[in-house]
Amino acid sequence: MLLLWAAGAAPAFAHGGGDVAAGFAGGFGHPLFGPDHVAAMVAVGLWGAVLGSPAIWVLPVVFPLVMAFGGVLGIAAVPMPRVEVGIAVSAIMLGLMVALAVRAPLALAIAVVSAFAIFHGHAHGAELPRGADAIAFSAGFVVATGLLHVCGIGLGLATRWPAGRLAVRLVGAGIAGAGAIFLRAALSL
Amino acid sequence: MALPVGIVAGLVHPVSTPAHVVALTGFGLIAGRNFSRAGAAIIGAFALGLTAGLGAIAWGVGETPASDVLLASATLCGLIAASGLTAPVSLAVPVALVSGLALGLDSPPESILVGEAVAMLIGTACGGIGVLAMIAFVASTIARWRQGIILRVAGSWLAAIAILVLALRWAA
Repeated sequence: MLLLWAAGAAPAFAHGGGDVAAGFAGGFGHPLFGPDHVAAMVAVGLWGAVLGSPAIWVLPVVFPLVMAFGGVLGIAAVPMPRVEVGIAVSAIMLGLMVALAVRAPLALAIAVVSAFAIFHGHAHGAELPRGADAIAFSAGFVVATGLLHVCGIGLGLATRWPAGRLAVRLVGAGIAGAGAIFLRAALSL
Repeated sequence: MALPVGIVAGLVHPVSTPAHVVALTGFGLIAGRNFSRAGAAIIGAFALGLTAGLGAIAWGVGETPASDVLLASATLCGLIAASGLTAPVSLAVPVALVSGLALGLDSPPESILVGEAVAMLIGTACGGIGVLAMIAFVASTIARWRQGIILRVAGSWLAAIAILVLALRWAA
């Protein structure tokens, strides 16, 4: 429904305001152009797949909600020190969870993912546009974030096969390595 | 015979306004979970509220915080859907009434011509009820598939969107 609306919405009606489709596209692209965000989101999906049911779908349900809470903190300009460092650490930690195939209890997995979701949400919230297309932008970036989780889950389903398990762990190691690069860059800011 | 322009504009109004799409989808998820038990009562309550809201607009009610109420309703519905719970009818019906009322109050017709404005209001009523019924039907079908995981994910996304936009509005 949301995608249909984004594709076909005519902005000429009562609350048209800004260009809805452009707002959605801007929001959709926002997380995709942040490699640290992409890496962490894919890792969330991968880790869910490694953990299996119910984590495979609970983590992608929890993440956007907690991310929105972090977004509220960002919108309200509540100071949060070293947000970029937190995001880089999220890529490292989540990548390691996948690489090491850590079988954490569901509650612990939710706690870990939620803690990092606040950093991601804060960063996005601080950059959300204050305009008529805010809802389209928000929808775009929440949907893009969710789809990155889906990508991670899709890749993670390869764990059904022995070669796939190794491949997934290698991807996790790659994400953790990329996170280390992001961390170095964040610390040099 | 072609439909009058006002009717057509009203019919598409609920799907051309982002806040309305979010609210209708969120509420549709809740209605879908109750579709077989109390679908008619919930959609009926929504229709009653929508008619009252549009009637108030026709009566000349000024600006209201209806848009914020719609987003708050979407947040509540999204959270309920994300939790996987089925909202009790005693909660779903009042939420339907309030959501319909807010949607109506947030749908002023664009035209200043009385005939066209009335046609738009009628179109909005039909469009809103039709879209909600469709979403609820689809949601009721999806709810039976894989423990309703898709509904839970959709609820989570909708609640996140609504929370962010409410925060943006309150911060402005």
